[in-house]
Amino acid sequence: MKLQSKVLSMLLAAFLVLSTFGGCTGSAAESTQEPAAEPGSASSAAAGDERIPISIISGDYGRIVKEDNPVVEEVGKRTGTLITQNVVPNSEFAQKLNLLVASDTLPDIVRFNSYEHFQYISTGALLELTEGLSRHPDLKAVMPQEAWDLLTVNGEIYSIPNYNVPGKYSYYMRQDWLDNLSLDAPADLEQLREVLKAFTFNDPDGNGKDDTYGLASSEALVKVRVSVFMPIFGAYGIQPTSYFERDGKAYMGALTEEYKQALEFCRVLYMEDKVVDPDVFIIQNDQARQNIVNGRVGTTVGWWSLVCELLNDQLKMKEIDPESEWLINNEVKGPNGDYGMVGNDLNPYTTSISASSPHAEKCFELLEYLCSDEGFMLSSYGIEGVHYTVDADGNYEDRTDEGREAMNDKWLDILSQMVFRVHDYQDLILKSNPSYRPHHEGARDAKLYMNLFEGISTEESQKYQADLEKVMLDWMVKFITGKEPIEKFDDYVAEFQEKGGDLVMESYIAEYNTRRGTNLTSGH
Amino acid sequence: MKRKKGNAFDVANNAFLLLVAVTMLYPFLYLLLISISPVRQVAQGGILLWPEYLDFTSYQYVFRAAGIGKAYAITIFVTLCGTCLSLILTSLGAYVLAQPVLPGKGALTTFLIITMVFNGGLIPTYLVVKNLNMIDSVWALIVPNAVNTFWLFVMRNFFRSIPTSLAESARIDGCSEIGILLRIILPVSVPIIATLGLFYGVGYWNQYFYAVIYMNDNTRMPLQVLIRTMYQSTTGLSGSVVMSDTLPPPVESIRAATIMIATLPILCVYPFLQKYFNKGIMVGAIKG
Repeated sequence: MKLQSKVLSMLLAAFLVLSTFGGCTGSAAESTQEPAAEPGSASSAAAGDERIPISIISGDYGRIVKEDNPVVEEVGKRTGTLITQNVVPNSEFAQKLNLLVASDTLPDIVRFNSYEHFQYISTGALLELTEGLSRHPDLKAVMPQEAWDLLTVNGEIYSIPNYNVPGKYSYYMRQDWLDNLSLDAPADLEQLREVLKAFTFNDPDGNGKDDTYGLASSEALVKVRVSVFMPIFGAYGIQPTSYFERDGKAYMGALTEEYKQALEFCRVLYMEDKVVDPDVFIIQNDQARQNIVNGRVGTTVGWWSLVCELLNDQLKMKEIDPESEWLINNEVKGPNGDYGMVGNDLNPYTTSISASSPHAEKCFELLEYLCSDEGFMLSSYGIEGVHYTVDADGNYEDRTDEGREAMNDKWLDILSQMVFRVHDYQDLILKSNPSYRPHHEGARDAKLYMNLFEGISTEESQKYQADLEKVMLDWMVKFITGKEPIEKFDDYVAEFQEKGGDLVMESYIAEYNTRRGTNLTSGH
Repeated sequence: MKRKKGNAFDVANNAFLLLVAVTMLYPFLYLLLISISPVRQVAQGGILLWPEYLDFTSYQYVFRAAGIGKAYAITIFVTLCGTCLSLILTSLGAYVLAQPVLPGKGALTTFLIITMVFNGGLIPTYLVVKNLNMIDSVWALIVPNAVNTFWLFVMRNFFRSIPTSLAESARIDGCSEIGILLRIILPVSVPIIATLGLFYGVGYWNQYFYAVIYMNDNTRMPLQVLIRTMYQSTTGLSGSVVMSDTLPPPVESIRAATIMIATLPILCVYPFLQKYFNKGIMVGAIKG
């Protein structure tokens, strides 16, 4: 029996030891194979290679990291760097960043979504950029001052902005249906109501079937911020998720009397006129787009490339319905003559440099190169002559087949969105796709309700945002579907404030006042 | 008379089960059809039973993805190697714990049970993995979670149910402990090994979160992560910051194709393991 238990404990030891030992030997073998994998380690530069390793981490932006990517290799050669990139799914990005910060292995360059970098300033993980930027004026000059201002707190800058056009959504209407019914494009809400009724009940496509709706969505309803009711909210002078200032007081659209009136108008459209697709609150992206493509939808709200790119080019709507023509109408006016769509953040993402990076200067050089003329073309369009062609004057002409294929495979321009000259890029795209231009400009030039507190990210907003989104969405659906009478609007406001709404508001105002030296108070 | 009644029941029963089977199979079939149907038909939502013609564009698109071969290789390596290692460690541990007499067994069991309820938290675990130099190594996908405590106990209980006389007779014949485990216990434990092997295998195959956390080098990601990136890159219309001027096939087709690509290989394993599940445990072990 004694011998038996001895052997048993040996087996047990084997079980315990093997679990750690297997890992050690394995990893040793791995690391001899590829020395360059560890982020932030400078060891790989030693092997007679002058190039400095730069590691980059970012959330997912629809690009795929490719081994031996010729464009990345070319950028590396021209800047004397050896670039490794880690693209993390957005849902896991924050978690991963926390781990990297906690283990002090943050990569050299971090690309943050919207204004999330503000949360990491206090950890000391990010480099203060003012001094470095003064040595790299080209990098500073490529983004407008407005964008820098949003990132400057107490004169300190921890992230490089990536300025984009805030106008991204349009209200689309079937022009051919208006023509069929001899109607004018609606200029105000009452006319809109008549048009929606006609689109729903007067057989606008002339197929003899009652299979159309006046208003339907082009994507699933995820947030109150982007809903099919956006132009109606705009007509009442607000957008629910946009904070705004009036007479020295700050308001949130979703808590105002205007929002209440807008909801009531939406309820009438939905419940009484029955001109809104009843599935509008539960429909999924694919189904929504199928409905539009199959000519069952008269008006919809969509991202600016919805019609030109998704419906026409991708889903071949013109083949199914050759008559279909879309009108952009972002100026449906409300009772007080208001109108407008929701404005996106000016900086959808920002780029920071790690405080512990041994190669901070090289990071600046790399980023500055990426926004130079040469670096911009290389990182966005690939290698001249291989991935794109130029005309006699040296101007961009078109992608080659190889370049197009690489673009389709999502690896060609993976370095483009670090410091990105988005306007130049858009200009070039619109040049090669002239049919996109009116759509782009329609959304760009719409009147916008911008968010007063853009660029502010507080502890409270992080904590309560998800709950508040849910409260807003739940009540919006309840009011529009008539499940709760609009008289209960005060109950909704009370619940919103109770779930942290007022705390978020206070924290925003406090931060805003500190940054701007203003004396704003809450209007609610 | 009696027989006829039985037949009627059988018919109803079979019809019902057939219906259940169809409801299970149809979603899968539907995705398969979407993935091989022409884009236009998918866009119009006109797919019910048969595509107009076969169209493999979405498969071509997914399989052209940079590094998908390597991703497959990594996933297959992790699945095979991980399942073997997990089974070895689990059976070693289970065999020891299944012994009727073992000094400190209670303490050891408690120690293991604690890990089922509490874990070290993500950051400490990450630091351990980092200090073992396993970041960016495929072993990070295998070693930290090589043993699932619950399944360890499942296997221990199975081993306990094997009559001790089996091991004792071997011991009398002079067999070593390792020999008993390898020659006596494991051969009669094929059902539990097949079951846990499948669980472990599917777990490794679907490895996603730990890959995202422990791998910093995107060219060494397993299949699931790459496929997710592929899929995401086609869906982010209003989420994407900038447009691209080239177009992939529509989202629905891509999604269907990726589901097929990600699940078919592991589905193919099931039929081969199934025969072990319903086999009697002790068939032919002890006679008389």
